[in-house]
Amino acid sequence: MRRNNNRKRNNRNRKEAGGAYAFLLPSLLGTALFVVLPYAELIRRSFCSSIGREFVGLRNYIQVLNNTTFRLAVFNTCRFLIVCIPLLLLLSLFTAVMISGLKEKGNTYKTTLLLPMAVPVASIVLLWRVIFHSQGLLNQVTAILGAEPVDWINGSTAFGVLVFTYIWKNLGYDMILWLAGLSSISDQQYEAARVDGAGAFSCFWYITMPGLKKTMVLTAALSLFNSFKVFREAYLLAGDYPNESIYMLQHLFNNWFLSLDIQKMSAASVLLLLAIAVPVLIYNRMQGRNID
Amino acid sequence: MKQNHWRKRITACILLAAMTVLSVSGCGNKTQDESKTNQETTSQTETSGANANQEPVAKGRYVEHKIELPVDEDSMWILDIVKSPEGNFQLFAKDKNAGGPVQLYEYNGSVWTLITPDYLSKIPQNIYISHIAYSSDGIVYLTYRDAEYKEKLAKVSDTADFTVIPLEEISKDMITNLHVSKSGILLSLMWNTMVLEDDGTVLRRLPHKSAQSDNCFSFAVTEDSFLAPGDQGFIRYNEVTGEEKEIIPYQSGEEDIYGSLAAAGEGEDFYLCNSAGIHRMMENGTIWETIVDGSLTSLGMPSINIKKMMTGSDNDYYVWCIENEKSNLIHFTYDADMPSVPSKTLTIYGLNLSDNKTLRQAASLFQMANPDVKIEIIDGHSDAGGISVSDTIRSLNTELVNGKGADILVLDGLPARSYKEKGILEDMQKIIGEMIESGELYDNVADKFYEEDGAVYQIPTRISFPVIIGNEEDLRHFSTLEDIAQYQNANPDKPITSKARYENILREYANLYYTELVNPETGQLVPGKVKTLLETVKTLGDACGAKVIFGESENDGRLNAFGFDQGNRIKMSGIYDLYGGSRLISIEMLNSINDMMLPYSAIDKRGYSMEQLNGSYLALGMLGVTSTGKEKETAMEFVRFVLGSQVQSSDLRDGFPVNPEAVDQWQEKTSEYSVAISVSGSDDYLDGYWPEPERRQELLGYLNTLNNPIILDGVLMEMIINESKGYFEGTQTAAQAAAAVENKAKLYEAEQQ
Repeated sequence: MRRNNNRKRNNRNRKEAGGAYAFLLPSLLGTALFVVLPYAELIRRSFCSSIGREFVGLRNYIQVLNNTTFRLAVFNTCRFLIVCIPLLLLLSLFTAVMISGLKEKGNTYKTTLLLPMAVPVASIVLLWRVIFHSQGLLNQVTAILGAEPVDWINGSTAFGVLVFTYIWKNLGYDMILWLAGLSSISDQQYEAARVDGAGAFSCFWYITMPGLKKTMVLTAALSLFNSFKVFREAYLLAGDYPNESIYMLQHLFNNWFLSLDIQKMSAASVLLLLAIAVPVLIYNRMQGRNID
Repeated sequence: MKQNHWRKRITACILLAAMTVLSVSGCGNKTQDESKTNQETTSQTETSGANANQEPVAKGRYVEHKIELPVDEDSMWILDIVKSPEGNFQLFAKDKNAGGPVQLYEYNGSVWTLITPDYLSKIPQNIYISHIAYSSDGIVYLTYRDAEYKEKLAKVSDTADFTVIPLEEISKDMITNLHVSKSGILLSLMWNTMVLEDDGTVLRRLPHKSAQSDNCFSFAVTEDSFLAPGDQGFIRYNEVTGEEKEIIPYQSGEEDIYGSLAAAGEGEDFYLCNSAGIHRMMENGTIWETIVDGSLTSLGMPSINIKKMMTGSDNDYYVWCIENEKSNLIHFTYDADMPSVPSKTLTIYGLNLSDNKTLRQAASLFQMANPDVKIEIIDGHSDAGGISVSDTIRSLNTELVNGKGADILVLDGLPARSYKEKGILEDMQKIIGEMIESGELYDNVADKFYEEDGAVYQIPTRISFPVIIGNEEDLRHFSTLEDIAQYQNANPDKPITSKARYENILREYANLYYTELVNPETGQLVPGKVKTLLETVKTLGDACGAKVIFGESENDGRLNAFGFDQGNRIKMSGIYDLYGGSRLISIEMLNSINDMMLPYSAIDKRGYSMEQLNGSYLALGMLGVTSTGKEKETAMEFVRFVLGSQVQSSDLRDGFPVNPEAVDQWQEKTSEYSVAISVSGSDDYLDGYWPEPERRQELLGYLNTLNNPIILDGVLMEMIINESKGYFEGTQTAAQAAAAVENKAKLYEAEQQ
């Protein structure tokens, strides 16, 4: 009798699993076709010559790792991420906390900070040229103070301009994410803390920050992804070969594609994939252990 | 209940299977039986060749034959070719030197016969006839210029004397066309067509677009309408009332006005002949029906100018066109056995092929010689919808990587070095070697494109070279950039260049001295040379009054003449300023013998000397065969064809030949073309005529001495231009600007490692 029941249960489980697989199949096929296969092709090409005809072993990887422009681009990209993402997170959190403190009155500020998101990249580039050009508005202002004109976009200040562009464009978006996180923290917690004599800083440190932990992970991840999009601005502002300080991985990939160095692009992409995937896997593993 | 459930499942499965079978049956090749059925039902569809398994091939296409003309145009003028009321073609001609009476030849479908109708003797001999038209009752109407170059209209017939029809309203307008219809005489002027009565009374005027020259035959008279070119398309007028009935959009665009219209016989249908072919517009139709594909015939050749189209009696067409200042009469007939569409397609891709006349000429001639081949020329820039050059190259690279690229690449502006290294280009040594051996290619030119291992991956189809003109003493100071700067510094009051933007001077001198600037072997900047270039340009610019940008008020409020952006094109010509005394020398970038007509005039008048500059030349239309193409063999044949004397002998003003045999034909070529410009502020003028044989020999002789090809790297050029702006604006020193260029160039070079 028990054996019969087990068999029925197994059959039911198998049927349910079959149904689940049937539902998953389209997305599995889509992922295989549009993600797994291209990645497999990318890995294959990274071991082949330019147009994928002959196997060349690790030659492409060695070439890429020895390439000074690759190292420069990796350095610049990392520097940009290290500078921008913490700066953006801090600034957006600061503005979010300020605006949430203003309650209804903060709407005007919220809208103002969100406006850059609605401005098309081409318009931003045009505006930036008007401001940062060697004969632009900024130089007109600095000239009044007796300063020499500076080519802000093509000179050593290019990195600062790019960081400013990124922060200016993404500040509003991150602020909204933080505001959503802040709204999920109950007011009663703050009231209870104040009754116990906690000050503003203590409330922020012991209630707000722990309450925003999940939001922080999400905001940081989205900021990281958005940072890759900054290449559009860099490219439109300064072209294929910008000032060395803003020469990013995307510039290199773009130029390699132009000269048909597909093999180098593939090898560099695999290296990047590893650079991102390995820490993520380690982090997941650690998270798994913590749960256990 | 359970049984019902199973029944539903089985029915669903059957329906699914049926649907799958039906869907799949639509895919794949047709079976042989189906082909047979189609063959029976479609008379024009046959299997080609002996292999019955091949796909059926639709047959039937217009083919062309050249009709030999009865006159030698070296000694005779062809006045007009018209269709007589009896339907025969008649050619009116006149002796160029002796004058004499008008001669008339009639074509009976195979031979021309000289005929002498009575009216010919009545036409005065001292007039120059421009247009001739018959009325339905056989009266000949003609327009001409009299001894005082006044436009006149007259009529004559066997039974009536030569009578001038008074034209008081014409004044100085030029007559561009003549038709005779049931409502009167239609006399087309520059901006309108006058409908006249037989006594010269103007019945009405029909406005149209400027006909611009008497080569414009885009007018036609159908049964009830008169067709003329307008702004939006051809205007159809009611011939009797003059009312505008409709506007028929142009087939190719406004350039259709340089085509020719012809009525299709009875009714309102008419034909248009342009470089895209012969097209028919049905009565009340809205879409042009292409009858003859111009790209498969000589109509698509850039050397051809269509003059007049006429219809035959058997659905055939005659096109009178001009090539190299000589008339051709081409007869288009329908060949029912010719495949409608060629079986092979050869694709040629380049960044900017819309202006490449040599390639288009070669494509037309090759297709005529090989009717089974269709050549598809892809202009990368327009094909990509006008996106940036870099993005256009990226789209091309995507195709090349996927093995779907063109068979032939025109490598101008493309990363040829990279393609060569990546194995995209096929070795053409076999055909190039053979051509050099047989004397069909200049070895001094071809040698420069041999790789160390003996392979040849690219070869130019045309070349353009600079000559320097001025006093003999001055010409000795132009071998290097340093020499030029020194000489200009020594003569600060005598500008070497004409007034222009610094950027334009920079582009010109960077182009001319490119091999001094960039190592041809490695493609890398020669250290220190950028600074020299910038300083030289600054010196030259300061002497001629150059600026970074010119305002609208520059040049006495006229157009911003010195400020145009000429891009990387080298369009140097300073002969006018040299002759006028405002510059020391002139550098002419020559593309054809015509380009030397005015310079030779200046040389004659002022006793200047001329030298070729450093053996340098621009390699134009660089061809490479792709290793991924499907038609490699045909592609190789085509490259050989382009470099052959048949194509190279055409002077399309887009460069000199690379083929010595073709140069011999250029040497023999004569022209009646002339040009003159006056020197402002004086009665003096430059008048250019076709150079004498000795001069042509001198000019074409330079081709043997050219050994210094300029093959621009667009990326490096843009770096030089962009990074040097600060120097010319005064915000940087030459050393700083040169360092910025060199830094970026290093980045560019490092990417390739």
